[in-house]
Amino acid sequence: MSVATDIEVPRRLLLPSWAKGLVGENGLLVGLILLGVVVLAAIFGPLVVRTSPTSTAYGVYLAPSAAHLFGTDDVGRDVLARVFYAIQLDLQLAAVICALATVAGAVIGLFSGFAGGLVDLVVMRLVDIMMSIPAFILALIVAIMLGNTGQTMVLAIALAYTPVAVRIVRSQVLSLRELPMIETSRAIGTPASRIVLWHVLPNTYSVLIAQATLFLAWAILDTAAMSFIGVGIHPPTPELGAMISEGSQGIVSGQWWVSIFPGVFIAFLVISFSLVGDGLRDYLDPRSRR
Amino acid sequence: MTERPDAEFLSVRGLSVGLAGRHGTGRVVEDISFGIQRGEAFGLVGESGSGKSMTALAIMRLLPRVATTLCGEVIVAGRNVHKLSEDEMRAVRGGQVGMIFQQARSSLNPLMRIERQIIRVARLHGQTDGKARSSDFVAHLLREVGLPSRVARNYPHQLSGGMAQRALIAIVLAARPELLIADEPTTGLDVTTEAEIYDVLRELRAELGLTLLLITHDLALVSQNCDRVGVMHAGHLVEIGDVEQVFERPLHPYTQALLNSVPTLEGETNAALAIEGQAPRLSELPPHGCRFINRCPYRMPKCADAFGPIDYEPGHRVLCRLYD
Repeated sequence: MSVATDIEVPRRLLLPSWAKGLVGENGLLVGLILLGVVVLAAIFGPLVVRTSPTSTAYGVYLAPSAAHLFGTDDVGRDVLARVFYAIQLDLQLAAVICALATVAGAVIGLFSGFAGGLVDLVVMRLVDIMMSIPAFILALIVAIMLGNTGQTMVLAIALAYTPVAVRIVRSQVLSLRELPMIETSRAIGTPASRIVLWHVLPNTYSVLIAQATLFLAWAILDTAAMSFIGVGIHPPTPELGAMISEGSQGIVSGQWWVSIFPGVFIAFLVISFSLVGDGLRDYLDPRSRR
Repeated sequence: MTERPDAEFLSVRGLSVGLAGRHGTGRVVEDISFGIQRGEAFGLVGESGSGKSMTALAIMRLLPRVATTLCGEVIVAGRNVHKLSEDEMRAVRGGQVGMIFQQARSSLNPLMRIERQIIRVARLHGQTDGKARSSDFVAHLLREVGLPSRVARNYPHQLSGGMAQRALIAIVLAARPELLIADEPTTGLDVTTEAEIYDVLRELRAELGLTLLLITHDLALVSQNCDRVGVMHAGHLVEIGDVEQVFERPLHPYTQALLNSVPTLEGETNAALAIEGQAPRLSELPPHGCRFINRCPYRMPKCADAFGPIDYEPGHRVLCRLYD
């Protein structure tokens, strides 16, 4: 679909060109493999490495060793075991954020694009206002206003992403509804509701799915960033950003492992989701499926 | 309302369509009347902007938001289209009157296999049920338009332009319409493919008794494929008659000029005559009288007055004061 390519996807968190050059055409594959490794490790890791994420009995600030691959933290907990649980938690949070923002964006975008007129005008100005505030700041303010818990953080981040999805879906709808396909479908007696369901919505999927994957990458980063500054998930719950925060005092005194390992996994997750998102955008273009 | 057996399947009476522009509403279709008998092929010719497509869309009640039907009635199979509810109208669209457009490929959903698009339309109009029969149904339809049954499993982008147009015809036929409106169905296709599409349409007419309304700017296509023809100019139906009548005895100066603009092998000169001037702009349409007046070599003062069509011979009608 030519309409799928002229959509302006926010450049936030897309990979720099040198990184794309590194993986070349195989970005999607590399991303999926990276992601698969991290996710499988997080799920099956606790079965293999049988250290406890909550026990403080291991000794304080032990350097990485065979017994504790990622070392232990300031109260003597095993960092590797905590990283496994943190990845699981962050992935779940990201999935919920992504689902909320994508579905809300699709519904509002479809509605706005089809209704047109005053409704569309109001919705789009609201979107503009929301997008004029950096997503992280907006999410931060809303999360704190709603009460600074894990749930409010998830809602707030989803809210901050929704305008992006609204804009993408709406612009797709605007170009799709002018296609001969829609007129032909009307001329054959298809009810308007079916036209939206059969012909408009499915044709937005390629861009929407790619954007949803990028939402996952953003969500990992924003969840971690919020928890790092003390909003959303609070210690002692293992969360990657919160762990970095907890270990940050140790870095200057030489106990780097407490912060670095969670940080490395944030990077892994974000890079792999970005690669998958970028790759999907090309792959889901129907013309490339010849 | 019961329908007389000899009645026209489609009957357009005094139809006018207004198009809202920057300078007020222009009548892009003005008081046109014609009828199409069952099984007949009717050609509507005219240059771009003459109102051919607007007429077709008005018949389907699918005019864009800026356009409205101002007056006149459209009778499809004995029922006035403008008196139907939206639900009844949806049954007429597709079920009684099918419509195909140019750019067949972009008329198809790129994400759906042809098979699924055919079945969806058939279900919508209650033409098929049950999984077992539907694949036969699809194969049968594809055969009717001269496509191999493997096309059922194809996506639109895998089809050539000609195949896409055939597939679109198959999809439209899945609703079993009695009248097919073909709006420039072969624009953008090469002449060989064009000829194949018209072969398909001719076979369908013979086999299914399909009635055809062909909208085109191509006079040759009309003379080869139609029984009757209507010539449109700037929203007026300036001449209507049997194809032989109109092509052998063109009455309206515009029709004559159109026919002269087609180069012929027998002609003494090779030059195809261009019609002088341009069709009037929407904002410059005269309120009444002839709309060809500024380009007409035979114009008379009385041409600017209001007048109606004149019956020249049975079935042959012209909108011109030369034949008063």
